Amino acid sequence: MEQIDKEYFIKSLAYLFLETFEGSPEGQGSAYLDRGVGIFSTLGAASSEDASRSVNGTTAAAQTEHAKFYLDRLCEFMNGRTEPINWDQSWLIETVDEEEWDALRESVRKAYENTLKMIADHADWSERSVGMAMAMLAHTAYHLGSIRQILKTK
Amino acid sequence: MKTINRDDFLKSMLALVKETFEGTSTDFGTMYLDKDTSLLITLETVTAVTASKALTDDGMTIAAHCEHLRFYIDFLNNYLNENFEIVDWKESWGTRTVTKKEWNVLRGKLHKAYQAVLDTFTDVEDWTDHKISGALGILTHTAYHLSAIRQMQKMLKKDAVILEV
Repeated sequence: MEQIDKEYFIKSLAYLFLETFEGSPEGQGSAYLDRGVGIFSTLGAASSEDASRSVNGTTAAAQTEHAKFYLDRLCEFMNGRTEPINWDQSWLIETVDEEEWDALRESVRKAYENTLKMIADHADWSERSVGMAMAMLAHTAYHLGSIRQILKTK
Repeated sequence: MKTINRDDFLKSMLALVKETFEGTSTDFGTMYLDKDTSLLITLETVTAVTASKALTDDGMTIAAHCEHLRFYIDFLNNYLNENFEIVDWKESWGTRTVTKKEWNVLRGKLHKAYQAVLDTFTDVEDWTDHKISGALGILTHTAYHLSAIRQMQKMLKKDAVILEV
């Protein structure tokens, strides 16, 4: 078949995002993460002190901000942005106090919600936009793996 | 539009999976990884000794992550080829330490599993939601473990330096 049903793609992509951020829902199979694992449960269990601990020259807070920045910018590209990005700006956060950590986690939740909305609303699924949407997913999964490994180091 | 062109989906999926395993750049640069940080490039720099070390007594090793990845990829590759089988996922974590020969064999198997996935993706004619989810699962699961492996490798190198001092 030369065409793929757009709803199939959106449904699958949205489910993988849901699992990556919220963890797989009870009663449904998980696609790639252990039950109970996701961005929100991982970040929710970490204190600002945990998130600011330097491991291998990085911190969980830095990885979180970078992952969120990437999602926000790619959503902008998907919505028509053409100006280039200064990716150095995605690594500006290293340590956080309690208030900053709460704010960062909240901004991650907003980035996730914006991403789901963008996926649902996007009309023109070209090769470029399909690739960007899947890259957003892969990039988040990559940094979730890093964040969880960093937080294991006490 | 209610449909997505199959070739557009396939080109993007292949580009991302190739980037994850080989680090191959697309026409507009890498999509989500830094240069030279792909799985196969990373594993080339890991010795059997390092691959067999855990950071904690009950922790996983890089060899364990690799075998788990291979197991998952083979399972989903079978699924995409409509050969669904029930597996014991505990078996996927059965490897802990490897000799030099075993490490070469394991990396070879992982490479072969990856090549089989490329062939499968190209051969799938009817991309249903289940098959799209399976392909996305291979991509995200590999990305997730790749970053864990890279963090572990850095930590193990640091520990080795401390021990040498």
